[in-house]
Amino acid sequence: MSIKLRELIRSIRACKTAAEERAVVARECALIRTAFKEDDNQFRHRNVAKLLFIHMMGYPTHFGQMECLKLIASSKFPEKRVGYLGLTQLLDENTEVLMLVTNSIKNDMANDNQYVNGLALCALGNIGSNEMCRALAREVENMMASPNPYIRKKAALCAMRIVRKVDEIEDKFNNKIGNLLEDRNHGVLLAGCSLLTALLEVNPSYIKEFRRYIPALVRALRNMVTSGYTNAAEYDIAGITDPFLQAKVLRLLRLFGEKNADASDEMNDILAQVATNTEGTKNTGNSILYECVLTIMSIDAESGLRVLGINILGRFLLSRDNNIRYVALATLQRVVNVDQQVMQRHRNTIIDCLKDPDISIRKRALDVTYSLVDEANIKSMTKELLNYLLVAEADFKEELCSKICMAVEKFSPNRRWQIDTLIKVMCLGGNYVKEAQREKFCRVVAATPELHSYTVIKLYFNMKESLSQEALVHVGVWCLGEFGDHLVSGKAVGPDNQPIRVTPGDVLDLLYDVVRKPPTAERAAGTHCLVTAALIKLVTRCPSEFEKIRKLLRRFDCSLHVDLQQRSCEFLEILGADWDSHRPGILDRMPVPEKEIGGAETRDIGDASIDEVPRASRGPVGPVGGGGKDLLDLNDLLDGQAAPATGGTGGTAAYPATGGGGGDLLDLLDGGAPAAPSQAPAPAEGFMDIFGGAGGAEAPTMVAFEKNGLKVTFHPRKDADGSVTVLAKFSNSLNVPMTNFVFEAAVPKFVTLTMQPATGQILPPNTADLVTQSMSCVNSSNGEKALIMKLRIGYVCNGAPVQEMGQVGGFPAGY
Amino acid sequence: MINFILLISRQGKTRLKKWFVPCPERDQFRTIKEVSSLILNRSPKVCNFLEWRDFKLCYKRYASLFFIACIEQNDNELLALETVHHFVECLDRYFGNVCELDLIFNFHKAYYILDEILISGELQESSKRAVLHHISEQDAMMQENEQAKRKG
Repeated sequence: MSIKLRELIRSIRACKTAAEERAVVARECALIRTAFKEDDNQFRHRNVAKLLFIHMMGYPTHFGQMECLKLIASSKFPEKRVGYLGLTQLLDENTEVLMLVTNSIKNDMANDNQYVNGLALCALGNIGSNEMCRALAREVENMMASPNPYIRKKAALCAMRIVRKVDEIEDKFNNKIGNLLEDRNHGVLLAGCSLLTALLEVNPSYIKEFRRYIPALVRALRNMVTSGYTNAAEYDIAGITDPFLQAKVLRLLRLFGEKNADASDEMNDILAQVATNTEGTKNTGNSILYECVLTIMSIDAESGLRVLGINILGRFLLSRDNNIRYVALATLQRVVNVDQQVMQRHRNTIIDCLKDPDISIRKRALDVTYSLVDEANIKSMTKELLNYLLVAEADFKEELCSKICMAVEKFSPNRRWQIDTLIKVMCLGGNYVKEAQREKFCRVVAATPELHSYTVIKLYFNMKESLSQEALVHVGVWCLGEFGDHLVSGKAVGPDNQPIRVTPGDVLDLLYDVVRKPPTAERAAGTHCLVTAALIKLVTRCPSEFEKIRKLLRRFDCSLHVDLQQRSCEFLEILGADWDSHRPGILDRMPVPEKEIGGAETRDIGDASIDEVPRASRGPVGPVGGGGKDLLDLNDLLDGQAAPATGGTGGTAAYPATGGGGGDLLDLLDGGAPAAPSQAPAPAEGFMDIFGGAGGAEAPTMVAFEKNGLKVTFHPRKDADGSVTVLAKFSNSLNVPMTNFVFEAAVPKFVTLTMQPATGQILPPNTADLVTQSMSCVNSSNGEKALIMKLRIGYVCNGAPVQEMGQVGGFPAGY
Repeated sequence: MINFILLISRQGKTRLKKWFVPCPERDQFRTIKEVSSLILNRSPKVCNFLEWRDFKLCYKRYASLFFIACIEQNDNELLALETVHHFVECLDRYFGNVCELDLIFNFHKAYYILDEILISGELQESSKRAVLHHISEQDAMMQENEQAKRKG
């Protein structure tokens, strides 16, 4: 004899510990299983009910699924009712046994009793799978015309599910919808509106056809808004007649009125009536006003009506109720493109919402603020956002930082301002600026030679102030390495016309401090890697510090961090005398990336003079020497305002411009390949690859190309993440040098190729493997298709240009 | 549309859960855990909406229970609160001053009432009187059946 449901609940509630509860549940589950196995009919529905309670507590109950089907097949209403409840709780539309219930549902839909019909419809509406929907669509269609509103409304909602689930028969119910919309029963009307909304969302092409029901919808809405409506009492909530139906109708009208002047005309009056007559003191009224404003702002509303909508929105925004302010911001976000002027009027209120204690409101406000930013207000808006960054909570800073960076990238008036602002972001929230944003910053800096000196000086002094912000330290270290020569040249002039003096020793001291105190202890190795790269670059920029650099690099040659150890060992190797002649080439500036610096190419550079240097940390002031001349030249350049900020104007930027070559390269593979010539280099990462072999699986060397004294060898290596890094090494066996050397590769569609720039574009005579270029490929066919590459090589030999083509296959399996 | 409805006690116990979109059992319980901890930790002063994944959670506390409705991006949050309130009022009228214990011992009845209010995540009946009328008729059918069984 099984215990009653009530007793089970009581005994579970009496348990004092989780273990005790588990024991009670396990015991009861065992009993229920036995009862199921013995096919006990008498207590089956009680057992399933108990199982439902156990299920709600999170215990596995799949063994009850079949029992639900048996209960549904029973002729007794109590068993059926529990069976259907179990069905919707224990199964979902993806459960396999669900298909077995289709026939029972069909029978129950034909039953004489409306409640049995109701159970069947409810189950179909809640968990009906695609197949079930298809099988029962005809029955549902018939029931939509039932004289009983209880059946009609449920059938209409089932039809809605069918429309959402099954594409091919979405129009099956179209001729029934009209009757539903003219029904007098609110339940049926409500269901009819839901069905139509679903249909129009699935396939907007029906909107035109159904516009003829606008008058019926307007009439229904007018009835509810007008006082003295006969059914008012039954549907009244806080003085509003059926807010649910009103909102549904308003939403439908929105779909009809969008981008259609005639339809909008038909609803202008009723929308005005709803907007003026609905009282906005309670949630119920506000839910209608909210829906109404959305409709007004979406359709071609008359100007008077639009003003009405905007006023309601303004009132919402100033409300003291948090819920109302939240929906006001959500609405602004959705209508931001409709009326920029209105938005700008509320700007201060929106910005105030950024400081709200509620994360939901802050998030909304940030999104709205971001969409308010444009060329005209970027400066003032960024200032507000930066102010806010100063006080924002940690968990919000990341989103805030990325929004500021995005806005700056999109709208900054000039490069100088862009760099200034990004540095400010990194000073305030440097621990929350994402890797991608830091990289972008570096690209912008690299692409603006006029501001190299300015940027590196600014970063240097900011780092001297504080080393606590990771992004600032990372980009700062990178810039010190790349542009350290500007810093120590003494040519830059401060705001008071005094030259800024930073000695190479100062730079080394700063890097030493970074090594000693990295901004985030747990990611110290990453910082150290960047420092080693900066150090090696400084060898050529500050030759006087050679020994100090070597000493600092030595710190890492026994590091437990593989990458760091490898880097430092390799860098130490370069310091050897063997490399004296090649060092300047190897340690040259990073090539300027050609793309992905945002819309910045077309922008002015801005003023390159230095106007703020922290006084305390300024170096010793020396007499104004001839060094000032350099900056003057620079100013001349800027005065012309015509200086296009093209990448690589400096003589040192040694990367060949292959921008135009991208198109040709596409032809190599019938235009289908994603050409990836000269992907912008990631700061510092390229360095690692130059020396290859960072812990991946190395494959045997392949000869990719050999002709006329030029030999290209490939050293592929599979990395842990499945990508393949191919290091191409170039050898010249002739007695004359090959100059203007350009190596390009193209791959089929299933491979993504990223190329790092070559380490040089001159192959000296009789040298092997001196110049290298690294490429990384990701084969998205999961090894089903073999990696293949087409090559194009160009160089000048004996004054004559040479153009070669080649194809490389035969990569190891799985590459 | 409403994706799911949850009733969570202040101690984090589930009192009712109903999904209107397919969701494997394991994910349901994971979601319940995640959502309830998010909502139980919110201050009572802040608004009743919380953005969660691509959805919005609209919730309201009634005595010791949190009623949570998960709706889609473009749905009306204020109306979702009205829907929740509509359900609460129906429960209240059915049980007569409903309390958490009523919902624990009669959890199946709460589901029956919900099934008369929502189908497929959309409201089917905005009249409380109609909902209660249909529920009481079905309850009567249950009684008749029980009595017939006892007699037979």
